[in-house]
Amino acid sequence: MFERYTNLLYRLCYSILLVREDAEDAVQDVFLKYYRKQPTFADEDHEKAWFIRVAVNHCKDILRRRKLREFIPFSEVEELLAEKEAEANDSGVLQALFELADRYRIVMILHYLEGYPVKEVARLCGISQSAVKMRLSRGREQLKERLKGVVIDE
Amino acid sequence: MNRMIEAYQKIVAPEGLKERIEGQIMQDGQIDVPKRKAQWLGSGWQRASAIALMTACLFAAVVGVGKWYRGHEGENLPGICLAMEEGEILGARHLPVHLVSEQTEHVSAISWLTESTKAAVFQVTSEQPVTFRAEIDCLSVYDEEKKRWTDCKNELMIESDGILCLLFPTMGEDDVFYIQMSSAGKESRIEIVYDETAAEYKAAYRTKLSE
Repeated sequence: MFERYTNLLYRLCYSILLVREDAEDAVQDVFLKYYRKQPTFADEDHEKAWFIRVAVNHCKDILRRRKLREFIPFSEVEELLAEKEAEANDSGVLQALFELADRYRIVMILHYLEGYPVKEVARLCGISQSAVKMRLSRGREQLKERLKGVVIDE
Repeated sequence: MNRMIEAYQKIVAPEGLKERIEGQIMQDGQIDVPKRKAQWLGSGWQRASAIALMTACLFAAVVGVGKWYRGHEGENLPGICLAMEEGEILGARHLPVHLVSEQTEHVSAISWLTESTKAAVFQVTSEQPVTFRAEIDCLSVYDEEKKRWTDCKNELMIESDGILCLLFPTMGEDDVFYIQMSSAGKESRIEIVYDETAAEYKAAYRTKLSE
């Protein structure tokens, strides 16, 4: 279980939360939920979807709490991002993605980086397919703007 | 896109994380299990009453008992004022953002936080306990003694004269937000949506009075 999902969940949580320590805690919490609930799955895809859904929801909760209690000046966020992403982001492309608002970033990660179809992203995020499409569209536009001329495949 | 995927795949869990989680799970029996929502609502008859009320409201919503009243539209966040009378929710409406103090018959808006926090504080003066439920976002109450907000809950019950804060800090432009309130068998629902044309949040609220 750990071998299968730790990196996947960490990657996902980190990309949503953008803080290493928070991502580590989030991954831990997801596994704890799994062991406490002991859910049963029809197959491996079902299992993977459960982990991703729980991780996304948990990260959204963390973001929500963060927004309620913290205020970080944007200049500091930029510094934080630059520092935290330096080792992982050798092209700057990922950095541009990470700078998108949460609601765009999450669906873009699930769709483009994790490879889930729109229908599945909608299910994982608990929103409608049209909302997913709209967020993908807006996210792509914003990404294009940030990348200045780099073509984003649809 | 390939470069982005490659960079994404390079993100790996730090060394020791798996071991840390395994260790945590091994001693899971000693970990405090979070309180269940029902416990948070109170104990004994309070909990039973809350559950009964919510069940009644759910039933009423499903079977369509009562008639819906559709209220005003177009007033902005952040606050929602509840009009109460002896435990009955008569209606709900948004209050202007810059309002400092407003009295209604049974609910007073006693103060406002900054607009950016999208928060408002209300003094509920109903004589009956009121159950509030936010399906997506959360509700917090301000602890006057400790001078801080309580943990964000998506379900809470306040007694009469409680101070209620409805927070909408994380709404996306395409999210739809519902708050459902029940009191003494009455149910109200507020639906808040983002109006793209007007580029602002709008509330479409309806009060369903059970018959």
